[in-house]
Amino acid sequence: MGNRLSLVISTDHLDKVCSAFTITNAAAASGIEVSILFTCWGINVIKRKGARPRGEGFLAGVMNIFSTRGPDRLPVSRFNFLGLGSWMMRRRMKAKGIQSIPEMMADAADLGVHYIACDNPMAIMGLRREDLIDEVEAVVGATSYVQEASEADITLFV
Amino acid sequence: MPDVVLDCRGMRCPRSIVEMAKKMRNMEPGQTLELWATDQVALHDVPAWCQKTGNPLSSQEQEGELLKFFVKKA
Repeated sequence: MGNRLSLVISTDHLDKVCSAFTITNAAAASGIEVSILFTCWGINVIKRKGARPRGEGFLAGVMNIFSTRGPDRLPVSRFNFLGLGSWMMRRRMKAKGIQSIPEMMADAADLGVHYIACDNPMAIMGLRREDLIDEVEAVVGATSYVQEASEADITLFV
Repeated sequence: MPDVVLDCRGMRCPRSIVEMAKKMRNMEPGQTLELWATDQVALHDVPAWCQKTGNPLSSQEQEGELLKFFVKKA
């Protein structure tokens, strides 16, 4: 018992994603099997560089322009100021020896953390499976997630 | 005498634990890892990791800011 952790990441805010991956990596390093469902804006965290909607029309294109471009460019949930706050946060993290989100994600991959993506937000954003990073194992619906989470010992929603 | 020394000075949570877990993967049972850390939460986190993973913490030392943990691979 106590060996499976299931997280939902529903945000692309740097501060919250940082908390999520800190717990993820601590758990995975402790021998706990971790799986993360990325949903809502969390999809932006696992978006491939340069991903954009194709043939999805004007609104999806506009949404993409205003969306976070990937894990190295996440905004902060407070005092973002068009990215200045995020830049300051990243500078402070680095100065204090705290890993960046891409660095933590590299460790997560090394430790065998499982990523799954929620289908609905991808449809809204006009993104397809190939627009997500290779580490994503499946694009699923809520029922698959609930089935998986029901077997977990710890569940967290970020 | 430790078999492996892992220098995690300057790293903050959870990196030193992650580095220790990665290093331990390539060690043989019975070997000892000496972890150096300056992150003071390691005082709580290293024993917690040892308890969770079943790798015993043989001993620990403190030299000012520097913490040294001797962890045996189970």
